Amino acid sequence: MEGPDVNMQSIERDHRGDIVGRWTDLDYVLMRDGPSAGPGFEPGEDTKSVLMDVMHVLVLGAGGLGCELLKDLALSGFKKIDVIDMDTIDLSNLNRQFLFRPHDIGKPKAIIAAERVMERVEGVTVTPHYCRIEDKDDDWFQQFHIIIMGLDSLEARSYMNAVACSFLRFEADGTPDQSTIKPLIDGGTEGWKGHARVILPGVTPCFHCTMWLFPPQTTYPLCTLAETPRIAAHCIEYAHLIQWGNERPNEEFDADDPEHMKWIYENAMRRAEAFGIEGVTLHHTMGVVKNIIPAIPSTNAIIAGQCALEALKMATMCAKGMDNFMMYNGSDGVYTHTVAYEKDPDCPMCSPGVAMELPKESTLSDVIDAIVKKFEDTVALPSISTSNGTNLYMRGVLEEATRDNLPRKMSELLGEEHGGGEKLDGLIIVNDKKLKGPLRVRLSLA
Amino acid sequence: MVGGRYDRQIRIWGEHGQKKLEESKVCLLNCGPTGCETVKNLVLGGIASFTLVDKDTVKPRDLGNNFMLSTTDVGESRAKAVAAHLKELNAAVVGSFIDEDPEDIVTDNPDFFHDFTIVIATQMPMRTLMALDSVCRKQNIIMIVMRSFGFIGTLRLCIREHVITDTNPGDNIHDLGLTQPWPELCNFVSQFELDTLDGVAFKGVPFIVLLLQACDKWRAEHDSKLPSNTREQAAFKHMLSAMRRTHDEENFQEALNAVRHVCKPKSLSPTLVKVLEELASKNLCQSTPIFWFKISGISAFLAKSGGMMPLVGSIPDMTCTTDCYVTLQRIYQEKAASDAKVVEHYVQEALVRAGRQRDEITADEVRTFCRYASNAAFLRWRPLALDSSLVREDKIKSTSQGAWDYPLSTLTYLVLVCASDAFFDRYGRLPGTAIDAVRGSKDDFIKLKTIADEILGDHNLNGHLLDNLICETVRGGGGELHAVASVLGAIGSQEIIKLVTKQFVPCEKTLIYNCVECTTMTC
Ligand SMILES: [Zn+2]
Repeated sequence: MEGPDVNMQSIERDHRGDIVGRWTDLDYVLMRDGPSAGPGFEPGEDTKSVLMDVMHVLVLGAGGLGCELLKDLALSGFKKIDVIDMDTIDLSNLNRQFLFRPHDIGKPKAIIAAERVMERVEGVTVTPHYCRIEDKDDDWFQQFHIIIMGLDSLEARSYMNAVACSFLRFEADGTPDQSTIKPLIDGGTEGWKGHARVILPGVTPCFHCTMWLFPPQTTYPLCTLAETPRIAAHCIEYAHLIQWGNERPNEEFDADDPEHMKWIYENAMRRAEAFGIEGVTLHHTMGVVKNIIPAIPSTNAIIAGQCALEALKMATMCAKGMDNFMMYNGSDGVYTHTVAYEKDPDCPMCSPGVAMELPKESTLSDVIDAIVKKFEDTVALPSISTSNGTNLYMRGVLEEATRDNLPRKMSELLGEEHGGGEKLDGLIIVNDKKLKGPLRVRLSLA
Repeated sequence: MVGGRYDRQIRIWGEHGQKKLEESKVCLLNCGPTGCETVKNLVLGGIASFTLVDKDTVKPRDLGNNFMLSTTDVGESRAKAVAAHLKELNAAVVGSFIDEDPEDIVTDNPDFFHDFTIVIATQMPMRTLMALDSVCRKQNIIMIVMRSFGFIGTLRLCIREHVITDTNPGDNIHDLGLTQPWPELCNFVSQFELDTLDGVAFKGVPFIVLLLQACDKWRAEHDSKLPSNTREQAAFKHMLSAMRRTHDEENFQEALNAVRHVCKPKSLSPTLVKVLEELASKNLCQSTPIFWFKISGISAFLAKSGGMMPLVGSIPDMTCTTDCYVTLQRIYQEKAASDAKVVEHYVQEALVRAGRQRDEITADEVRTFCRYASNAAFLRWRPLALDSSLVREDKIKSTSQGAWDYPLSTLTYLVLVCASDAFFDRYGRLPGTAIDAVRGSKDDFIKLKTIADEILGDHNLNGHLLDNLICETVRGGGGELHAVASVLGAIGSQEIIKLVTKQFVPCEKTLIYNCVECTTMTC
């Protein structure tokens, strides 16, 4: 069983430059068919080549999930990976963000993470972007085949979801144009709990379709903080939200500044003592003010591993993909639950919208008239924008700036989105005070 | 340390949990990705030490599935190379390695394992695991068995006995003791003359006061009894609502939400009932773990209180004035302290009866124990050897009143694992690893199916394993896909943390992780 010892000189390499035998485990499932394979799976070198030579994936976040994701993707055969993160490394990251060392504290996560993965995993290119997701143009995201989110904020997820959904185009019958689907894989953790999900805009529910999955944060009524504090958190939030502004009005509070944190702690402490309330500690103060989410290595690794597997399945079809949401809880035994959530048919982000056919020569003004006529109960004074967010005609302060578009041909306005020329179909977004949410209209100019 | 390396996890298992983790000595058998990822997470968490046992040198294949190895390690001792990379993760953790076959150590030097708190056995054949299980069981060492093959991962804990003192310290348990209010609480409640209060003061009365005053009123009209059925509860709620002045009093809303707490005392959790049953079968003596003395204190308290647990002492936030809240909190804390004192007395009596020191346990420890006692749990895992002696299943069932329950699905995976082991013994390689991997897999399918049928036949079991399952097993070639190993290893490290901190509930059965279905199944 024991093979001969190999030394560096005798290592044999394949056409890709990979050491022969390196991907043995992956090859078993890529070169052979099986009952778990996904639809259209074709075992063999071509599939492996798609994974290793073609696929270009983006990881959002180089934190707890991000570090695990980069490792898992690199060892699942992905060779072109980009990563975005705007944060720098903090001591409290080191219990789970295993790519970082104490001497990295203060440095950008994305850059260090990329370096470490490339040092360890030969042949992978990880390109770091030390910036916010919002700093990139929407079109920049088009180059990636799969976008994997290891984020800790709802806002960032929502933003990415909106960008991915804006790429989506529909056929005349309302089915999504397959070539415009930008797949997202999303992971999230909190303590022992986590979720992994696959979002194929237009096919599976998008982030916005299932907004209700994310409960609102706990906040305390200001009158409780000011008048009847009862628990430690009330005193801390009083110092943080009310006292700081009153006593240090010209300074912006910075949770990462130790002096600021100490000030909050001491004032919260004094207030607690005055009211006879127990439990204000620095630990608790930081937890409340920074809204710290407890985090352990294992949950991150579980969720990231499943996300990376979904990416591997999506890229190769070597196994059926997740449909479409998995939740995990490790506090009482090991519990997972996979649910196929349903799309919101009226989702303002990913639904095909209402079909409308108008003559080829229609102007924006004609389109508005037609919309008001068609939706007379709910639309009176509509604002119109494209699905990418370009304002075509707005009411209120932007009215003057957009008024010139009214007599222009709709096909030209749609074409401008795509670098000029005419475009005879497209999704437009209608907003009106009388509407509950934005209305999507799938326009075709024939 | 606030904001320190372990801050985010101490917020989950507390300083006391972290301390236990920092005392843990871990031994890993076989340095494939499943094992390495498990230990990686534990090293990050801050265990005391790890020792790696592996007989192999680093092969090209390791570079495609193990992050703890890189190209320059090829040809080196695998245990040594992995140990070096693991140590980079946390300077506080001591690491060592041994270049030996783990299977040889199990057979030739079982005492080796006595030094460890935890033994992690990965990718090992069943018969060695059974031998190792009996070694660890004797010393009550935590053993965890993991195996990943293709898209599947299996995990099984093997521990003789485990007690949990803290099933979920993250959640505050508020048992308000409203079914049997004690004199100090009653005094406080009777100080409020609701009719005399102005609007603002009225809205600042704690819901506990509203509820207990309503109870007095109800009792006066109902033969000194509390509402017992749903009809009476509805009437009680109606009466409570009638006491309102407007409809926006939040304290009344809180009172209405808590009505069930005055009607029915909180029943004991099923896990605590199991612990108490276990206590009844024990004879407390010199060698009995201290946990059981604490439980005996709780048991004696329950007998005296008519089934009421010692008061936890914490109260939830509620709409009321600061003064009311602070006073109420003090009343609850004092009652909890006096309950704990009673429990402490019983614990001391039990210690003396067993010929042990009265002060073997501190008042503080008893106090903490009382806080979490309502969720105490006791677990035991059957010996691994019983897993494979399927034929004795009926006998086991009849002797232990169904304690070891054995549905078909575990059996399926177990037969699969045993069949793969037998395949290895017979052909010197795992199924699906023929030189011509594609064409050879057809042959291997037939061979593995034959072996599986033989195993089933040996145990007089009818039927076959599903062809799909055998087919997928052959396809995976017993290989460790990194992401599958990473998920399984993470679950493994999580279970180990629950076991060493004695917090949260570990997995009691065999766990099967299927990354195609995105499920974990326990059976
Ligand atoms: Zn949607």
